[in-house]
Amino acid sequence: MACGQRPCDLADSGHPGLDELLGGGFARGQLSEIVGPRSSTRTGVMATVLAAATGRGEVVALIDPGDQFMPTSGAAFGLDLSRLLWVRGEGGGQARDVSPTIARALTALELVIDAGEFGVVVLDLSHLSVSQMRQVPATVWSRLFRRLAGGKTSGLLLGPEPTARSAEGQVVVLRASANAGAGDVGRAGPPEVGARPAHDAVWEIRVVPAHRSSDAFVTFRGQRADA
Amino acid sequence: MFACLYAPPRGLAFQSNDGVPRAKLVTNELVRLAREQSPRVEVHGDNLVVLDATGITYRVGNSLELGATLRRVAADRRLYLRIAVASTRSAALLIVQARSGLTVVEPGEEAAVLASLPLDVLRTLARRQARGATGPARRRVPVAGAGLAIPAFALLSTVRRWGVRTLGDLAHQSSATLLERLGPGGLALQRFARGEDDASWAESADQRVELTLRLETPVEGHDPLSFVLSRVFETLCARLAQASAGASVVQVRLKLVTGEIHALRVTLAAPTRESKALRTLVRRELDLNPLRARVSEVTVVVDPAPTGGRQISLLARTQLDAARVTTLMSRLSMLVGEGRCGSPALVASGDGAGFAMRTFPPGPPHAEGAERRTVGDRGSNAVQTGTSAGNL
Repeated sequence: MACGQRPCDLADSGHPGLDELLGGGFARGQLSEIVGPRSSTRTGVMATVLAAATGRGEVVALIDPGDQFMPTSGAAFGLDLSRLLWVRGEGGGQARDVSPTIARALTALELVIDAGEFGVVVLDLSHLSVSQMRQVPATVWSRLFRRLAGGKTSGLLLGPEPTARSAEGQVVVLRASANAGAGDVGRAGPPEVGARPAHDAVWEIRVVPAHRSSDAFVTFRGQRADA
Repeated sequence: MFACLYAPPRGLAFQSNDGVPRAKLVTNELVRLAREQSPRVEVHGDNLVVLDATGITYRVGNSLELGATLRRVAADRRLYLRIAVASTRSAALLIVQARSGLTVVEPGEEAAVLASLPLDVLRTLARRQARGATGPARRRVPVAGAGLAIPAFALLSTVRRWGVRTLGDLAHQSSATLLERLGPGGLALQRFARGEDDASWAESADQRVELTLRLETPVEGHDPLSFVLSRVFETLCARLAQASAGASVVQVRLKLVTGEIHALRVTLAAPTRESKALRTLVRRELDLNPLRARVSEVTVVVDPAPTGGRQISLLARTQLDAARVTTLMSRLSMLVGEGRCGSPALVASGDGAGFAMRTFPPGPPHAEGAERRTVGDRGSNAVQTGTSAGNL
């Protein structure tokens, strides 16, 4: 388990099966990652984590330079929107040079972390390609680790591939689901507003915790682990 | 519970001892009258005042008793007023435009009472508010303007063309239709017609805290000025602490050696009395609007508002530190643009995907930026109305 077996330093993800794999939840004071290709339900997992945090009474923040978040989808996951600080960009994933976009997003993230009031802070860079993500210098992530360290904020980074996990952070790798688009809870959003998409979702997850790794993907359907 | 007092121009029997009409002083007299009942008084225009009696019913009695008291006190002062008492400020303001004498609306009956009023009351109120904000008499009245504003005349003309004649007709329109056809202003209009409040309270000016500092040697540059401001804010915050209040609006007037006045205004998301936070916010405004000459005099005016202290309870959710959040929101707004950061709130729309950005932490909506986003909309393809462009 990360964080030296201290449950108080973990932010549970809201998904029992995922929590089990994570060893209790995402580590606080660390930067963890939720990665996977497009339509692999990254946003669904993120919304579940945020919903769990707001359910605990925490405030959460989403830095969304791609302006991709859909409030209706978040609400369908049980996310208390009034406890969400949403910092929106205007896309820019198609632009050749995304450095300014990333720089502003990271500045916003640092401001939010420094405020110190948030339980979970998410930086959604999932609209960027792998090559665009690699443009970010490693020192930038190191700076983020230091800002998060010792605090009660759990940092999450959404992206196409593992890039910036901190020492005690975890990586949740998602695989594109075979029925993505139908029951997928990711960017496609819920089939109808007001539905509980988490119950219909199929998640194939591989977790890479801080001190161990699991090569096998585990499939979840709804709130229960099927395999 | 809110009570609205309005002195119609024809009824301005308030006269001085020598018999000269002093209509300009009526608003002041209304404020004095209202303040005898409640410390929270708001001016909406010439001769139009609202008092907030929420939480002090033990003192002013129920709505009927409050109305009767106001009518009696007004008559004693030879003020012939229209008085409306309702559970929302909007309802009281609208009713007093149409009903003479005393009208008391029991809680829950606002919609029914408002439904029968003609649509013209909205126009009348908008005109009175606008006149009150700009008229010469308004400037002499030592009270703050109210934050309530009706998204005005063009919208009303449009809904009138649809055949809407009463507030009830407007209240029963589909919110989705109003949003699509009129934008966020249409929704605001409908909320107002339903008697729902969505604007913050503007405190009266005589509760303001003000401090002026004349500098023996004019200062140049933002850093020395920041040092001066920190001294001013420490003093002001001490005064606010004595009143158990925080700053909701900070106005800074810097007199330059050229004789010009460099004015800044900072509206805080939540009241605070942290001098460092206030100085940081003013400094940020200064960075955005640099000085053109040395400063010889500094005046800071703070509008106080009750502070909601951090709740320390095992059973209640922890409240946010207002100063930190205000500073954070200010910096984020500077980074990504106004209206691009906040809390999303779902808005009724045809496809169920509408939302509006609201202030964070949640409170009254700012710059109503309602949007509709459908499944599949991404980034700049989203339907946007009335929001400023961000640049994250």
